[in-house]
Amino acid sequence: MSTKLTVALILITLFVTSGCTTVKPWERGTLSKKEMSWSPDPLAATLGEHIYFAKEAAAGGYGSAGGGCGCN
Amino acid sequence: MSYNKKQNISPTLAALYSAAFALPAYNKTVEAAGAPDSEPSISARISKYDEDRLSSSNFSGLGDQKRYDIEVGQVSVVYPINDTVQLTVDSAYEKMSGASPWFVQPDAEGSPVQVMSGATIDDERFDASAKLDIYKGKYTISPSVGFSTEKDYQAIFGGVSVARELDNKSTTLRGGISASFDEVKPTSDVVNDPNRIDSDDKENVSAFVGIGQVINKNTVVQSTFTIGHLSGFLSDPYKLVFNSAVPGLRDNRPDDRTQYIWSAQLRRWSETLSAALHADYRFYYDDWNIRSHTLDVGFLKHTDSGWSFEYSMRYYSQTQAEFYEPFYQAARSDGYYSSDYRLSPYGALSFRVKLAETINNWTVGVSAERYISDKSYSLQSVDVENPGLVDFTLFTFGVDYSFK
Repeated sequence: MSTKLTVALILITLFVTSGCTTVKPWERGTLSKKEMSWSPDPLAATLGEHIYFAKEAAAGGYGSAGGGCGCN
Repeated sequence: MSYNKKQNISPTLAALYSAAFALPAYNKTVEAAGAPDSEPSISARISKYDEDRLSSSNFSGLGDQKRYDIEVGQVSVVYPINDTVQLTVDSAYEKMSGASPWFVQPDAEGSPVQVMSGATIDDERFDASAKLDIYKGKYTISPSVGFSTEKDYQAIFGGVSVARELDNKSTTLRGGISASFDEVKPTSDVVNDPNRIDSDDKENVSAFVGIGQVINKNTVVQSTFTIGHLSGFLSDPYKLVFNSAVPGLRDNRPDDRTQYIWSAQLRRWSETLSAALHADYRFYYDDWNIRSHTLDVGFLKHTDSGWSFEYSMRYYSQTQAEFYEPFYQAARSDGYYSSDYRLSPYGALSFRVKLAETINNWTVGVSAERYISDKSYSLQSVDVENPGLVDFTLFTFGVDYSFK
């Protein structure tokens, strides 16, 4: 990766984390809602990633693992 | 409860809320969940994937314009074994038919047109995987294994990831490794080609690190960096390339590929809309010189009456592999050739909607996606569009049941 991109990623991370406030467990009712999850419908996400993997050059990057297939 | 009253919460009430947060339903938004689900659940999906017929303006006249149709069935079972271990088993079955892009050639005006396979391809694929989530205090350890099998391809894969909670679950650190070992065994169903390989292998290993952070009571973010390395037979055994200088060439790609991926995800609750806003971004780069940007944004709303509605849009753009050409007019010194549309420069847009209703232990839903790819959607100017770019529609019907 280029130096510019690395610097940009560091700046983005610092910007995002600088806005953090301490959130107590009893304040996390909203964060616990199902619609706030990283993957509200895991099966739909699995199928979607599989299709994009088969039809596009880029794949992965969200921390999940899987195998290849003859589709790509 | 009003959030601005938190300063006056009694220790007892605070302890109760802390206990409530420890319940599984409260933890599903955080990657290191902290505890298994309280009850088993099963989910099933039936999907119909239809690629658009190849347009006549992009068709060479050779082969069949009817592209892939795939019927997909998926089942997932989540089973909490005890207080600290949860098992998830996923399986999928696909039945596919249709013609596939074979190679690209110039027409009378020199514009690229697609030659399709001349026979209908019929194949089936089955995959299954199992994952354990083992909760050990602030750690969640998740080993997984799986396999995928079809007529001309076998894969076994596995991995392990670890999540560590910090700062009273405000921060989650994650890391993991995975590997896949694949065998390619081309069939003669499409075209009987004596020069095609009989079988070959490829391997894929990857590792990732990530961090999740609660920003405030309505916002959480996550960022992941992944590095992956593929090696072995990475070409498409069914595809040829057109080269006016060197006839009879096959798709031939380097036998190594290193991938670098950075992703960032945001979930934000809108008090105004009483809905969740999702934004996922991914930057991808590999040493075939492909760069891509993916942005996925969504709106998810659940009502008190049990209805849920989702709308999302995805934008994707990629540059071409350094050895890609629609067709060739000279020999390449490195010997690498591919006219695969998946290695060409283009952009794509997709739109998704989902509607579901939950009644007691059951959730029933339907969803649809429309995907369109075009050179004009690319972030960079594209001179010549690959004629094999795909557009598709996906319909899904799903049922979830929780054994409450």
